[in-house]
Amino acid sequence: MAGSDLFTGSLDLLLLKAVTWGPRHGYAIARWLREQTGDTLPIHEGVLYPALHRLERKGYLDEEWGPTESNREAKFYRLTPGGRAALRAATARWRLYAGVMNAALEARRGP
Amino acid sequence: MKRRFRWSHGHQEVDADVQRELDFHVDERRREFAAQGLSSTAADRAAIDAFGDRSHIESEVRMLRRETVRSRERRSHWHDIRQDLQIATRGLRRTPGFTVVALLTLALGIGANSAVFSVVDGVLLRPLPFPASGQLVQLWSDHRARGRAEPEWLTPPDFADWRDQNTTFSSMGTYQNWGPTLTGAGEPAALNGLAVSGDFFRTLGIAPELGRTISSDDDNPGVEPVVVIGDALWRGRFGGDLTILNRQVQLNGQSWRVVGVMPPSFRAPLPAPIAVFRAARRPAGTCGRGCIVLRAVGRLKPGVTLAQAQADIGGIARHDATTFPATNKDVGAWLIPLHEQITGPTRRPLLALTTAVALVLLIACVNLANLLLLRGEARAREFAVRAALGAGRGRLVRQLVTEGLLLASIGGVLGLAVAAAGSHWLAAVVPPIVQQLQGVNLSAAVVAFTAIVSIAAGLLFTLLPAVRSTGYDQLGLLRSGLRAGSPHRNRIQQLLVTGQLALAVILLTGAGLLIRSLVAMERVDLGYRTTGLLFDIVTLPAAQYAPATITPTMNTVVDRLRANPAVRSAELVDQPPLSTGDQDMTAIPLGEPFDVDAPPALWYRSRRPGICD
Repeated sequence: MAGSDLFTGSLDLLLLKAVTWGPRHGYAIARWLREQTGDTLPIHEGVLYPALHRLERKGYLDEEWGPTESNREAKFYRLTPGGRAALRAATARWRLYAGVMNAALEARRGP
Repeated sequence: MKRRFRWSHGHQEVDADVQRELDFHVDERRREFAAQGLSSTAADRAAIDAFGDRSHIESEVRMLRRETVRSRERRSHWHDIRQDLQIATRGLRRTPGFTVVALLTLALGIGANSAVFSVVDGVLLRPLPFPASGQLVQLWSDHRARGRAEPEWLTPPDFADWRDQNTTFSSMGTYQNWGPTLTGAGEPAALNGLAVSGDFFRTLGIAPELGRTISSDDDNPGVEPVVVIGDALWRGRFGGDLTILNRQVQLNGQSWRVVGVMPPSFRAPLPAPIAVFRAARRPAGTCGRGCIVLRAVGRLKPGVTLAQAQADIGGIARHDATTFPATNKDVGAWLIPLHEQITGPTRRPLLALTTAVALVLLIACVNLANLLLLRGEARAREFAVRAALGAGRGRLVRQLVTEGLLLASIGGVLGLAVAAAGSHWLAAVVPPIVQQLQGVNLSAAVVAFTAIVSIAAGLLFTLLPAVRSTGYDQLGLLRSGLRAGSPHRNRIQQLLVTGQLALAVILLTGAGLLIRSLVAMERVDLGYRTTGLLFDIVTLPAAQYAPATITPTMNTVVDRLRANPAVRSAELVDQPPLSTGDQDMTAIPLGEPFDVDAPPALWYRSRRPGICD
């Protein structure tokens, strides 16, 4: 279901990126995704949560309950050093992949 | 500390945590829709739709979350153990005197136990090296009703009745000593041999390494004489040559064809390794019911108990006793499991040793408990500070137990080294036959035993001091800075000292009794003076000394000894006085015809008149 139209791993990459500015709660991350992608991501918002918890299980994210700007209790996700390294590696892989794909798709000469 | 409390959640807390997180999201979304101007019900609807399949997502997150919590709890557990170990190591380094004394005590205490266990394991617990060795039984005749306390060998006709009439054995084999001289293959050599029945090897269940074993056909009169040789003789004398099969060897001046070689692991259930086996080949009718010459071993049928077999063979013996009263009156059957037959004599000394070393370890533990109690008093301030910093009593007890277990583990490893050295020395208490058949070594079982003993010892000597040292008013102590021992603790200490004394007394009494019986044994009046008495064995190889020359040669030996000014007297005897191992023979009254069923054997020793001087 969800994520099937996304390139494999791209949601994880975006989630890790979302917390590079500091600890964020799930709703803030969802809002950021909506804004950044112009609401084009073909997924339900709830799908973020299994993805976030999977990243936490891998040790890329850490969590803590804390107050929001509006002083409500929410669970905040923080990037761990391991998560930062994983983000760096995945970003490099993504750039290489995208670059190669772009170059191929914009080719001027046919086979 | 705080972190750990956060993580130790049960399933319910995890589930509530997940629900709260997802509720927060939906609620925030609803507010956003409402802020955009949607009615309260429409905003509700939109938020729920945007979220997706809530129940599916929630159960997935719950599972992930439980996994995370579990793995973090495990990690934090390991973290605590590592921390305890680090603190323990530091603590032990700070008090090197205590640490060295404790380690030495433990190494000796645990080592002694492991060494004795290695012998107990090798000798008493391990089965004999024969297939289904629990079925093997040594068969003896029982002459107790006639006043001979030891089990006795069998006569050929009695054995034949037992073998042919029993219903409880799958096979029975006999063996007799045979001491041939090997010639024609280097230096002449006197060999340890056995004359065996065709069922001997089948009963033991051992196949040859090369060729075949002795079969029942080899027992028939007139067939070609054949031998099976042991691995040591094959490699030692014949260089492990594979062409040994069918080669002729000279034994006692006669030619024998080699038909088989036994594997190196094979040992006959006898004290000395056997180099050569031949068929018994007893000419029919030359040895009757008075002729006690056979030793026999039998293999029980599967599922048959020793008691059933004893009843079975006992019945046959009773029948023979009434049928042949002249020879068999009061002669019964005596069945002893082969394992007991071989290891029996070592059982009592090993049990005594086991008890003694267990007591030594107990004393060591009490000693260490006492030392730790004193140390705990000295460290009272350290514990008070840690308690004030938030360490619970459980954590402090755990810290002390970790220290004890660390000590015991190192002590156990050192103990294994002690055992490795000690078990060789201890093996000397085991008769050679048991050593050859069973062997004493540091097996996996010994290592496992050492580990268990070490942990048990560690818990034994730490738990009490740990509970005591942490069990009083930490804060009050910290405030007052006093190091007063509570009256409670003094009582415990008195108990420990009393226990230690009691154990030591038991051990000393045991050791004293042992020494007294050893001394008493030394002082037993043998009926002759042993001072200045020397004994040696002279062997004359049959190949070099014809029967007629033996007596003159031995006389020359004695004469030369007598000529020596340092020797007051010298004499020949076939067995040293008061040793076991009588010769036996059948007495035939002079002038009467030879009767194979002659009345019972005599046990005799040849001696010469001068021996009593």
